Amino acid sequence: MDKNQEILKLLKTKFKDREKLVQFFVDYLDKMTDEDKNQLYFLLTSNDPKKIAEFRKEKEEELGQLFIDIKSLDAKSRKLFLDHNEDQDKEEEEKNMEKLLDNL
Amino acid sequence: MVNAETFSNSVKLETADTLRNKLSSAKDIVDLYNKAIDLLSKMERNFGNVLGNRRRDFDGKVTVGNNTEFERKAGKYNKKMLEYKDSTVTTTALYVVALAFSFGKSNVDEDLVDTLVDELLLTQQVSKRQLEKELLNNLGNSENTQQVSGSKEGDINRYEVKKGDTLSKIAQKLYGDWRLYRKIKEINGLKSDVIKVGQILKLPKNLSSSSKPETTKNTEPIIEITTNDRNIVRFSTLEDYNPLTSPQRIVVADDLQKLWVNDDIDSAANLEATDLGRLKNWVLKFLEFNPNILKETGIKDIYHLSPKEAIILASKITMRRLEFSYLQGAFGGVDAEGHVIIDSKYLNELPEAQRAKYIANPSLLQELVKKIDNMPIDQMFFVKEGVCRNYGDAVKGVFQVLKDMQEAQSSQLANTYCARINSYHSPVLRKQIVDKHLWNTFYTVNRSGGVDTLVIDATWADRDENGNLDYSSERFLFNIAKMREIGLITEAQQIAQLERWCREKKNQGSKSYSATCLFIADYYVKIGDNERAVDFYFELLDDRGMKGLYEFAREYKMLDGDVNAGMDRYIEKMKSDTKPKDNFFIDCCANQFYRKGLFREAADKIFEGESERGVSPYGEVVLIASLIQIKEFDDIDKGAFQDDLAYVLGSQGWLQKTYPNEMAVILERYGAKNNIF
Repeated sequence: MDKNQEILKLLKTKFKDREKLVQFFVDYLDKMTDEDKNQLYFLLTSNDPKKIAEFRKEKEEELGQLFIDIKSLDAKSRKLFLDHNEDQDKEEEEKNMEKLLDNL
Repeated sequence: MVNAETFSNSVKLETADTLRNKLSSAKDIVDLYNKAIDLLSKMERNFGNVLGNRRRDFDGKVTVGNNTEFERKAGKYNKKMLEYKDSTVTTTALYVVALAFSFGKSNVDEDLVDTLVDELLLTQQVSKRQLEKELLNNLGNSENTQQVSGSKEGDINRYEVKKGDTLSKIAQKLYGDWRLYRKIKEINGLKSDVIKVGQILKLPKNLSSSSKPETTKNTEPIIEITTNDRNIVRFSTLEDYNPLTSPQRIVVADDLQKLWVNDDIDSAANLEATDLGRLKNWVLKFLEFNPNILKETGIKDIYHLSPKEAIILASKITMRRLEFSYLQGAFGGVDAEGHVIIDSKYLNELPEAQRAKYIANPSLLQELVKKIDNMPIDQMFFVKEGVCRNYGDAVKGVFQVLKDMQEAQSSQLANTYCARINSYHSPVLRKQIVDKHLWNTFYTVNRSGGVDTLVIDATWADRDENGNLDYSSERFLFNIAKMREIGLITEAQQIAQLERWCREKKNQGSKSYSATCLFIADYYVKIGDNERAVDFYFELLDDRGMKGLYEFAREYKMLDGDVNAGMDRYIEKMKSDTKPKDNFFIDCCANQFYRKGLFREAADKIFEGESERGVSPYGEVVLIASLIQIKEFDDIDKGAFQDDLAYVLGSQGWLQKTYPNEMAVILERYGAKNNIF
């Protein structure tokens, strides 16, 4: 049985009454990296509540960090667009000035 | 224009540590996830604007163009952004699994798992849809790459060059943007910028610059809701209402059918008294004498209507023929003693003679309304009387006639249903948005078993200058409430949808936004999440300014256990707010000091700027009570606060409700004295 099927089987057994959660992974599992799948597998097979709580904490932190990274990328990309617009305006203004001078 | 450097400097990033410290519960994760997805979606749109005209696969690779450094860099960032998006979804999904294992402590956790899964599913569906749309667009673009925008035949004007003209002057004059001279040059195949007097230029009627990112059209987003049984109910706008239809009847889950099977009708219905055969004859006759209605709506074949065409036609026929009268609105029911209540707001719209008649004899109004209630639609069309209920009935009736007229083999309406929805589904929102109102909602069961939904309000459209029929955006709130009522979604899902709606409507200052925030806040009070409740009360405050402040404080009483903490936050927030601080704000602060036992501070606060602003009744209560507490009786007894005390004692009934503790102190000392001065 390949990893995906195994995970889905585990999900279906462990979350009998949470169809939506299972459905999400049915649609999304292919997009996940092997590392993510391993983590999911670990979660589904671990019976240690302490470890699960640690894992949860870890994901909280990861999401926090990701958000910081996303904000930073957002700032960078907006700066890139602004710079680009400024450059273009400047270039066109110069050309226009040249044209005006030509027409004088 | 914002200078790029200044902008960059002004972007202050939160440090990882401060953010981590803030994450204390799963609720924060829902919030964080939503914020991250919002930001990513905005970025995706921005990238779409910059890179959109080039073919772009979803690794973020730009396959056409990609020549300049800017494009390469933007492509790289775009790729990174998509990676982040995947990571956000995956990390949250793994978190949800871990969370699902640890609930059992409380139902709130279980609801949170549901909410998070809903959000994840929603993101997944939106991504799929965007992908399809982008791919389709890209195909379209690749076929038309050679076509210059606006250069279609029939859209071209001819322009004769005059003395003094330059290409940029022409561009400025005709399109308001000199930078478009390049486009003109391109369209006319000119090699240089030099033009001669008398030369004929081809100029498109409309021209837009491709060098600037085009702003995306501001349409309402399509909202998809997954019901408890995993069926998808999709709310779209009239413009986007193109469900995949089938001439065969599609069987749909019983639960979902509740949306349209027992639709709302609150009286003996006109529709139920209507002979559809007669109504059909009437509709055909109407169309025969009003062929323009088909031209206006662009409908070519009345026997092969698409759902969108049928909905527009049914509404327009209704609007054209149902001449509005306020008679029914003027009838406000009967009071306990059997007297007819007249709603003058509607009555005043009537001609003077009629108005006088009904004021003199209100029971005539009752009789007439009863008659209208029981009158079939086809008769009512000619009587020229009716309100929203009649519009709702008529739209549904005419739609049914149109549906029956379709050819069975190829009908696109076989799975489209019309229901009447009313505002009673959400009493809280009803008070704030529309009172006692009814409208239509159309449902099309699509081939995948989901339901496409569109909200139409012909009554309002009839009074709208632009005749806008589509009220999907605003009435959505009530339709969601109905979905909750018939058990299609959980309460947490309803709130999650309303919160999503609020995020989109933020800063628009509408009544519905405030009402929805209040609704959400009440929910959080109910489940004991006071922090969240306060956040939404603040939203209410932001939107309605100082008036909202009052409502906030009033509602805030519900959070008794947390009054102090909440008021601190509230004062903190108001300190940094740029809004002018009025009496109410200062008096609230003073009251907060009073409650904490800081009586001197409370009194000082009231005196703050007192000469300019005066003191509100609430402030007077706090002031007098504070002075008593700090034993400055002399000031009061010697008459310095004579008027204030007299006022407070004179209005003790209503002030006591708001400030019972303070009033108790005042009454203890001065209450027994009838004439103290």
